[in-house]
Amino acid sequence: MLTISDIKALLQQRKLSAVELVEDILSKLEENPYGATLCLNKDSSLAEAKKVQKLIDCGEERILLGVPIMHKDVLVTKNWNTTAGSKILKNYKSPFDAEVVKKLSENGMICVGKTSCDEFAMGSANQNCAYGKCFNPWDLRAIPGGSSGGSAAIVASGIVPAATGTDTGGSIRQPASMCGVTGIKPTYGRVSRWGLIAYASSLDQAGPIARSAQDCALLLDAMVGFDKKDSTSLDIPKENFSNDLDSPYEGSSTSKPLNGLRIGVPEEYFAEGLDNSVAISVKRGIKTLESLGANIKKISLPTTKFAVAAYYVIAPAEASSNLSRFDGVRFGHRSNLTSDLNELYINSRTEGFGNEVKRRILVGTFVLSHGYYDAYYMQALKVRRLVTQDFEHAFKSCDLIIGPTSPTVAWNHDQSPTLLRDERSNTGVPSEYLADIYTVGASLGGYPAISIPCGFSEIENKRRPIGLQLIGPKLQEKIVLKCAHMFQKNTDWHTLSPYKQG
Amino acid sequence: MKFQLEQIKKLAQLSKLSLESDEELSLMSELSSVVTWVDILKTANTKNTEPMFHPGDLTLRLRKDNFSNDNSIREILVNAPQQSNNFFIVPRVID
Repeated sequence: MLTISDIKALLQQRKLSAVELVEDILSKLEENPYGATLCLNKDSSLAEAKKVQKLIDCGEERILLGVPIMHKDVLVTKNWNTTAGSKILKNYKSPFDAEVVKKLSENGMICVGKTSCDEFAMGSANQNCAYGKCFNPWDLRAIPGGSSGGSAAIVASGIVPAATGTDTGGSIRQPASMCGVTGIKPTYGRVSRWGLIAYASSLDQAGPIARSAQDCALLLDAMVGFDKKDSTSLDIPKENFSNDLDSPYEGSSTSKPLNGLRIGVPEEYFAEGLDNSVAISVKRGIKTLESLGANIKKISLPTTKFAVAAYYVIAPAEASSNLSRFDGVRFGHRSNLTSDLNELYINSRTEGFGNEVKRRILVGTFVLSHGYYDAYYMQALKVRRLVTQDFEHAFKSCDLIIGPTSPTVAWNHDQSPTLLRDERSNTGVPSEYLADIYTVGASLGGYPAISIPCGFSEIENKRRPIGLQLIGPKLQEKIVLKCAHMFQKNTDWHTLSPYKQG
Repeated sequence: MKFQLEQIKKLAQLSKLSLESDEELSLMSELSSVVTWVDILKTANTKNTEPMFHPGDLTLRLRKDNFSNDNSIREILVNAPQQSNNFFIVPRVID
């Protein structure tokens, strides 16, 4: 399993050329392992590799130069197809690169493919992709998580060291958790949304999925920055996240590098619905951090019980508005059955969208409709503030919040997540929705949050990864990444792979 | 909340979607479940709480309405389902 630093060393020492590396990866991706890839463009990847190799030969040493990456297919890419996992964008070719794609390319990264995802990033299992199933490399019976399932699966497979993901309610962290890799959702506004096909604009944020917190920090260094093209981009000085990861937290010692770091454990994140094996692994992870000097304390986020419901009102509301642009007129699928303009809209959308997308558009339309707007949409927005106030209150007494990323490990393709002892699982609501319980809080508040591997659950002789989540106050990615890095320096969960199970 | 068939038809119409009758029935049940479930929000005490549209209550920044020439017509029209003379073609709107 090569990390970014490993690849960097191979390229700089001339043990491997960027072209050889890309050719090797493309040959592996050709068979579409784990169903994780939606699009390849060999000519473009090889041309980039040749260009980058010339720079390496000229002595350029930028850290990401020549490192291969795959992009989630909701990030638009010039000269490549971008489908967002939807039939409505089959054969769509963007006239421009997403800002984050552009930034990574400018840093010398080579795009080797686009990854599978839930249609328009709507899902938690990657089962809503219109172009086939994606499988978890740890156990082919299992889903990879979602919606950035292809990105997490391909990094877990070891074929590429890094991929981009996007996170609206947990779509970077949850698949990272289920595939045993590391993924961070930055603070809302850190990474430009220009060219990120919008699902829920007040929640969407792109971020990296990689093999370690250190690699995520290197990628994040290149991804962040103010972008005037995104009206919600934060106009703040650019930070470096990777340069002092190894130094102990605020003057603590090397033997206790997290001395003085206060980490809050919300009681609500260990309540009903949490799988026992997940609870055991996460608690063991908390003990590890404590042994590194962290001050672990109990906290409460009392509005946790409302967070998922608020999310499933706000996100569909924004989606129903955002997805109105797919009308069959200027781009995307157009129905052949179009006797008039209205029929063109209706038939193009009906043929182009999948079931989950239609369901969320309908829910969104309902909560925004006359007579229900105040009761549902406005109430959800008020609850969003209450959830955020809980976090703000917690961050007065702690520097980070810790808990499980997901209440369960990856479930089987033909099943739904089993949420233990949760009476709400019998309400007819997809239990996939309920499984977002620990990730949506950071999304609603716009906080940075990372998922790192912390153990396994064994199901029928196969190991399924468990992820631990660290949530930080806004713009405190450095502390989130430092804590995750110190954990990974003292554990080896992140170094294990489906082929090397420790 | 329990949806009636007419409400599902109306939502589909507003969403510019066409539903088969079996889809209408299953969505009637699914949407009823989802909306009943989110009714838990009504038990939250939001008196004196302002709605939060954005993390950090961002004010959207405006930019100058400058002309830019980043995209060529050709690159945009390559995605058009039907086009002619640099226009998107749609079914006749005015008789």
